[in-house]
Amino acid sequence: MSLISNFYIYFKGAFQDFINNALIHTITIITIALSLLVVGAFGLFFLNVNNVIDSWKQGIRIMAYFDSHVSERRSLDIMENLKILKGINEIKYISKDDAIKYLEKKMKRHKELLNNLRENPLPASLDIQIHPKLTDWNEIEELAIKIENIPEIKEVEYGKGWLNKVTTFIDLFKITCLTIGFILIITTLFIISNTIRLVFYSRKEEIEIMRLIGATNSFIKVPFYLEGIMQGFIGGLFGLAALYLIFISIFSGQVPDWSQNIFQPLFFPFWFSINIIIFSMFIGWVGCYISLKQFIRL
Amino acid sequence: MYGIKNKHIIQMFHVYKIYGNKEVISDISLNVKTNEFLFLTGPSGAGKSTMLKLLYVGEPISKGQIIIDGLNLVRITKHNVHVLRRKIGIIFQDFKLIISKNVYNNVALVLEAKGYSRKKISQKVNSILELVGMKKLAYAYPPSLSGGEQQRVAVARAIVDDPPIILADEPTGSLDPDSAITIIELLNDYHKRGGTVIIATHDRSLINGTNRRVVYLDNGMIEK
Repeated sequence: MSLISNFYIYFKGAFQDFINNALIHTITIITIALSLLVVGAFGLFFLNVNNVIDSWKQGIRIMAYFDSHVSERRSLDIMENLKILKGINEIKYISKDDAIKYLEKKMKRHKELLNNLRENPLPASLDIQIHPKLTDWNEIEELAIKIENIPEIKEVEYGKGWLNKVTTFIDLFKITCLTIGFILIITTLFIISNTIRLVFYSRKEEIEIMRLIGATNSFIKVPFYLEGIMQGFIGGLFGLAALYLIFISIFSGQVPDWSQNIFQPLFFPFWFSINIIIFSMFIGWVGCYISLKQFIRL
Repeated sequence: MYGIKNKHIIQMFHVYKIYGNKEVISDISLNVKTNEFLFLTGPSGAGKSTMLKLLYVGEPISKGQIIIDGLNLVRITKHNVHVLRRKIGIIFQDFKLIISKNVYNNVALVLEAKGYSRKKISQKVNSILELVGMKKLAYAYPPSLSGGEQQRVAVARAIVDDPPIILADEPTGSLDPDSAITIIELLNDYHKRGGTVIIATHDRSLINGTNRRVVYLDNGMIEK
């Protein structure tokens, strides 16, 4: 038997069954689409929060202040040595003079306060920009400690407190998303397997007849698997399309001005959307597998 | 295609079928030759249908052995039962047609399951529907057909791929006399082409005056 002929028969069987049990299949497709919509909404929220956090991370800096007795030459040597450390993107040396000039610029209206100073109290410092790829908070902390341990460095600042808070929040959010996603996937699996079971019950006599005429297990099963995969595909497509429409309607030209520097709302990239549909098809197949495993034992 | 004449295509050795404590088939030994036409008769509850079920492994054997065309049914599992069933065409009193498929597709299903090409399926199905006089109704659905027409479709389905054996369980049980004659004639034609036929029936009119072998069952045993 040719492969094409085989597939034609299987697809014909699956398609006919789809038409014959349109109501049951429609309900399942809607369920898959809704589940995907909810999981997708969480995923999308997570993606955008991650995006915001990443943009924050790109701005992470470590300010290392030198002891007042350290010469400029020694400071520059230290800067050169730090450049080879992993995780550092860029280092800028800020001399005592540069620091006071910067302060003067920032305090234009209160310049007279600075004029009264007998000597420049500001220390020379290094403005260390962390590499955007260094996203592990522990590694950032390790780097800061390493810099702090240099004897010529008096003090290091890198916003440890809020880093910890953000880390905890992200971890908690990840766990919540994963748990809800997992529960919804299990629910969807349960619904798909029950749908296939209903279809199976409605076709029980037909399947028995097929067995009597010498049909193999795979001849009976394959159309069911195709149905599960088709359900997953259509449900996935509808769910994703609905999510996109909701996303568009919420964010099209509605991004508040204050947030434009923080983040630009993102939808799932194309390849990721394709993966979501493939995953949805996989869920359809698994739901079908669970159901058939119980029934094709006649 | 139908096997070697005078060779036993079906061999039953001390076969029992027991449900709980009740022996529905009790110590039956029977040989059926290739191209034999055999009637299995007896009163209702004698075990005729059960015996046919044992032959197509609709029910497992409780004791004994059955060999069909070289296949030992005791060794047949759920996974390879199709090997046996492809050697047997089965006809039921209630036709067992798939109501969501038209006449053509009901018959074609046997060939699809066996993996024939679409062209071959079309050839075989059209020719068999012609033979049973159902070609004009090829695209009708079973519920719109009379009992006789449905049984002709069932016969077409059973013989479309020329299996060596036909098992018919009360094939005329729910038909009018004319339709019953048509069905028996179709089975006779199949037999003339070399096929082996076993008909389980309690209808004496089918058996009377025939020169076929008749096996009489009562209480699950063969009456001598």
